[in-house]
Amino acid sequence: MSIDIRVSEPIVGETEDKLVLAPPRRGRPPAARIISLSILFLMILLALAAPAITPHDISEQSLLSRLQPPVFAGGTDDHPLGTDHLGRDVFSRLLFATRTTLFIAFAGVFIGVVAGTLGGLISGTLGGWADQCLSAVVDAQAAVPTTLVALTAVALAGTHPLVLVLIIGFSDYYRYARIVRGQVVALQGRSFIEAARCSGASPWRIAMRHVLPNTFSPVVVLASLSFAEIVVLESSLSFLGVGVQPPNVSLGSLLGEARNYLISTPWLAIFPCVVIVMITVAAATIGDWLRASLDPRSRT
Amino acid sequence: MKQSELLRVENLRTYFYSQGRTVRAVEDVSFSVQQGSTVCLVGESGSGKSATAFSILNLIPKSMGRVVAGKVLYGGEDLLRISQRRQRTILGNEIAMIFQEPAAALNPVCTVGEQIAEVLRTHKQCSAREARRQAKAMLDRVGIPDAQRRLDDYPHQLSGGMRQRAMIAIALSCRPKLLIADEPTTALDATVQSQILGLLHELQADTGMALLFITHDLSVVAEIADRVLVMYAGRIVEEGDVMQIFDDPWMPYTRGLLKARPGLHSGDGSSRRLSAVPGDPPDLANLSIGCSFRPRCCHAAADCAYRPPDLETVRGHSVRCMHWRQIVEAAGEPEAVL
Repeated sequence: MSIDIRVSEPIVGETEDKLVLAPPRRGRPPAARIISLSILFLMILLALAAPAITPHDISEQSLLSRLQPPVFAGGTDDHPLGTDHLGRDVFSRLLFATRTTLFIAFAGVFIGVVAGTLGGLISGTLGGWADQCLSAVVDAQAAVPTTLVALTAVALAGTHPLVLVLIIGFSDYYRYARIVRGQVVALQGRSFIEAARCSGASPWRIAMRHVLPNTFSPVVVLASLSFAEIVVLESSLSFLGVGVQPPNVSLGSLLGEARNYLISTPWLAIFPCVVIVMITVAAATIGDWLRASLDPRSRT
Repeated sequence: MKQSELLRVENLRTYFYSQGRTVRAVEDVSFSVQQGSTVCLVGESGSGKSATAFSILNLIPKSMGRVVAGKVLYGGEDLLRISQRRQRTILGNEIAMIFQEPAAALNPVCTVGEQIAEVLRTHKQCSAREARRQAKAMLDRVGIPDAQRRLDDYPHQLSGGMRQRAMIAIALSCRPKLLIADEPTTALDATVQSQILGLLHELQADTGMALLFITHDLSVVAEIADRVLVMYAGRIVEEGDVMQIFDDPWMPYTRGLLKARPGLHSGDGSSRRLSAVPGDPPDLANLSIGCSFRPRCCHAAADCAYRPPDLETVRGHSVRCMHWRQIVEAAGEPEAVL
C-alpha cells in the first residue's frame, strides 16, 4: 500500500511565455498606415521646401526646349520630369503646385471644421428656433452643388486666393455642422451629460467639456475624407480656370494646361494626377486609422 | 440624538407630455429626509421614482415635461424656484447624485481623475494639483486599489464595480449633505452590489450625509433603509420606518411586493412558488378616478373604483388604502418576511 503523492510541476518560465498571447492586431495592417504617413509627410516636406529645391523658376520659359520627355523616357537631367508646352520645368511646377494645393486643402479643412463644429454645437445646444434657422441654412447649402456655388462666388468676388480658400472652406462646413449637431442632440439624453448637470456644471461647460470632445471622432474621420475631396475640388476649380490663377500653379491648373497635350505628351497630365491620387488615398487611410485610435473604447 | 430635517418635498407634481398625452409621472408626492438618514424610494419600473429624483433637482428636460406644482425645501430655499446659478452651486456640492449605469454616467473621453477634479474645481476654489491630490484621496476612500494609476484610466478601463466606485467618488468629492442614488446597484452583480452598499453605508457613517436611495430591490431596502416610501403609479402609497414596512405592511401593494421576494425555505426542500402581483401598472396618462391599484388588488371593493383613497397616517406609518384595517385584520398575524 502506497500513497501516491503527486507534486505538481512548477510552471517554468518557458511555459508561461507560451501562455502569454500576443495582443491582437487592430485596424488596418500597419504597412498601409506607414506608407500613407510617409507619403503625406514627404508631400508636406516637399511642399514646404519647394522654393529651396526647385531647379528652375516655375515661370522660366524656353520655347526651344518645349515638351521634352522626362528623364526616364529619354529626356535630360536638367528637366527630370520634362518640360511643358512653354518649355517650363515640370518638376519645379509640380512641387509648387503641390504646395499650393496642400495649403488650400489644409486651410479649407480647418475653416470647415471650425465653422461647422461651432455651428453644429450651437445649433444642437440651443435647440428651438435657433436650431431650426441654422439647420435650414445648412440644409439649403447642402442642396446646392458646391461647384456651382464656387463658380458663382468666383464670378462675383474675383479669383483672389483668399476667396478661393474661403469658398473651399465653406463648401463643406455643413457636413460638420450636421454631424456635430446630430451628436450633440444624441448626447443630450446620455446619462453622463445628466450626471454633469447634476454635479452643477454650467451649460457652457457641459457643451465644451463633455459634449464637444465626444464629437471629435466623427469630425476627424470626416475631415480626412473631405481633405481628399477638397484636393479634388480645388483641382476641379483650377482645371476649369476659376481656381488658382497664373503665374501660381496648383495640381488642377497643371492638369488644365495639360489637357491639350494628352495624346502627344501624356506625362504632363500623368504627374499631377499621380500626386492627387497619392494625397487623397493617403489622407483617407490616415483618417481611418485616426478614427480607430481616437475612439477611447478601442484604446488599450 | 435629535435629528433635523434636511430636505422636505411638498406636494410635488411632475407631468410628462408626449404625443398630446399628459403622463402624470409624479402626483402629489410629499416626504422629508432627515439629516444623516437613509430614505428608500421603492416601486416598480415606471412608478415615478426617478422622475421624483429629477424633479427634486429640477432637472426634468423641458422638452419632456415639467414640475407643475410643489415645493422642494432645502436649507430654507425652494430648489424649484431658485436661479439656475444658485442651483448650480448646490448641485454636486451639497446635493449629489449617482446613477444606475455607471458605464453610461461617466464621460467616456475623460479620465476618472479629470472627472473628479472637474467637480472639485467647479465648487471649491482649488488648484489643479490640489484637485488631483484630492481626487486620488477620493479614489482611495472608495476602495479603488492603486488609485494613483487609476486616476489616469478612462472609464472603459474599469470594471463595473470600479466604475460605480468611481461614480461615488465623483459624487462625494465635495462632501455633499445629501446623496441621491438612482438604483446604483441594479446593474451590478450580487457580490459587487453588497460591496457597494457597504461602502455607501460606511461613507454615510463617516460624513453624516443623508441618502435618498431609489430602488426596486426590497432586499437592498431591508439592508440600508431607515425610512421607506413605496410608490405606485406616481403616488406614495405607503410610508413608514423600515420595521413598520417589513413587519407590518398595510397597503395590499406592499404586501404583494413582499410576498414576491424570493427567500430560503426550510423543511421538505420544495420551493415555494413566488407570488407575483398580478396585472400590469396602469397607464399614467389615463388614470381612473379611484384607487390606481384597484385593478390588481385582490381586496378591491366596489367603492375603490369611485373614490380616490387619501393617505392615512397612524403612528408615523402612512397608507393610501381605504380598507387597510380590514385587510390587515383578515390576514391575521403578519408573515415574518425579514
